[in-house]
Amino acid sequence: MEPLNMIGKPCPIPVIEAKKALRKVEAGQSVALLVDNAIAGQNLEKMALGQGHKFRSEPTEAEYFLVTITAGQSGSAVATGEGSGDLVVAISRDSLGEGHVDLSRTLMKAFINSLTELDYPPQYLLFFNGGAFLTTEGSTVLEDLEKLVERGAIITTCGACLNFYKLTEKLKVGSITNMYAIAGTMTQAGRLINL
Amino acid sequence: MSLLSNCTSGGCGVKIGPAELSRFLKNLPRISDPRLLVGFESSDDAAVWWLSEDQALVSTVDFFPPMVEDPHLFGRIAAANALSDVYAMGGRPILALNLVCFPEKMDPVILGEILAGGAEKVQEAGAVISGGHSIYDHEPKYGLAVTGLVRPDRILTNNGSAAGDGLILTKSLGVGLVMGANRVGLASSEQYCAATVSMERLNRYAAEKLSGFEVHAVTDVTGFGLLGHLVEMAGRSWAVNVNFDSLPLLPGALDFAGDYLFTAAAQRNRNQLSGQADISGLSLSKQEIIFDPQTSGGLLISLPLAQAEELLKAIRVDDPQASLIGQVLVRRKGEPAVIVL
Repeated sequence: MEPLNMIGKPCPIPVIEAKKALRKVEAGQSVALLVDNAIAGQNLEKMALGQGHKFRSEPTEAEYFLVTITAGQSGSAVATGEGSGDLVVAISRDSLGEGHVDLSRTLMKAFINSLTELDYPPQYLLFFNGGAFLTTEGSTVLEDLEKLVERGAIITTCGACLNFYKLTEKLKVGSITNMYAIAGTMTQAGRLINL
Repeated sequence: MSLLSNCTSGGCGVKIGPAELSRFLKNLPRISDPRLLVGFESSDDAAVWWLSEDQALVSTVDFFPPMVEDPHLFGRIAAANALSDVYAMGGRPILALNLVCFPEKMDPVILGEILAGGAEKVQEAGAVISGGHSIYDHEPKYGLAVTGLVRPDRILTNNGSAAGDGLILTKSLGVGLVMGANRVGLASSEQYCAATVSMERLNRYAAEKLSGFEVHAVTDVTGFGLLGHLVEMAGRSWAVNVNFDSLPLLPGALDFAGDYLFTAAAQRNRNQLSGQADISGLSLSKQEIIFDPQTSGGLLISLPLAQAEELLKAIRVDDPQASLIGQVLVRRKGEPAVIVL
């Protein structure tokens, strides 16, 4: 396969193109890029090693650098979470999993924090029933939810649920929605995580 | 033809690195005129020439290609950046000359906008533009040569720090990362605005707060990144300790670093500086912040720690993001110049 021609492309374009290409390959497969300066190669190296790929750079006759990045497990399409459709996370409680309530709440906090660290965070987060406690005053995950909004996530909370728990005035992140919209988003999701 | 369309990079990210620069400079004749109070030997922000007992001339020049699409804004940023070197020497700008490179094929209205933006900032600084020089070039570039005045006993160099000093930084870091992300369409309008507001902010207001304090050293943060200037301040005698969590950051900067949207200039800074600093405790993204090239960055101020809180309070009235970022300590044998934790 011909390498991606990055000659004349300033940073961070080579890294962006490499990341795009890496999303389309399986673990063990390679992406090659031709860059015209050593610095661009070094930036590609930081990205590759940071994402758990293998990196190789060789000088060419024309004083360019031919960079080969071989996708590692963590960098493959499956692990980074990019799929064909929108990722929707539906959350109906303020804790994660079955077990001691303190641990379950800590796990939910850790889960939402982890979403902010993903290369491809979810496009939608839907909160209903006990999940309404996460988007309202007193929630320990508001900062992380704000981060997700900054990265383009749409956060909505079920209005009837806010009303039932008397939380309507206390909503701190995202907007109010109804069950019709929640049902619509869930049924049209590319991938749905239901918690 | 748009302002950025034929630029390969913009702002202070295009600066020639200090190592490369010193290679060229070492062949220049050494000047030993006693009236030259600050010359290029100490890689300071501007040259200072003794005029009389109570006056010295501060002289500096700065120009670069655009880092924003809006020509008026580019003019304002370039002027704020050029004026900054005078403030970093403790001076007050009085006179400025425009430097212009402009493509023959580009709409001259754009040039008018650039110059108008620059003139606004020079006026805000209380100085006057008294002419300039313009040529045709493939890439647009703009900047100014600025002359200022300073009292010879109030000159603030970049190398006067002492053990026991605290370090204040007056602007947020991450300009290079945010502008890089903006060029590939990944910065939100809020993130972009926070960066441009910071770049066009005059360092005048922070500099004016310095009088009355026993300030040991000042510089402005540039394309060499925060770490470049910390190493410079540490010199051979001191060890600078910086706490990463106290650094003021532009919104989005750390996220873009986390997404590997690294700039070329930051990597050049890394290659140049990593031997002089211990940053092993920082994640790769946090490391990128301290290597990030700043266009029109803030002032980095060194003064006795006991006075730092009071100065910080005064600066924060107009520049609320200013922070106390670290301390100057005695450098023990074998210690790196800078440690960032």
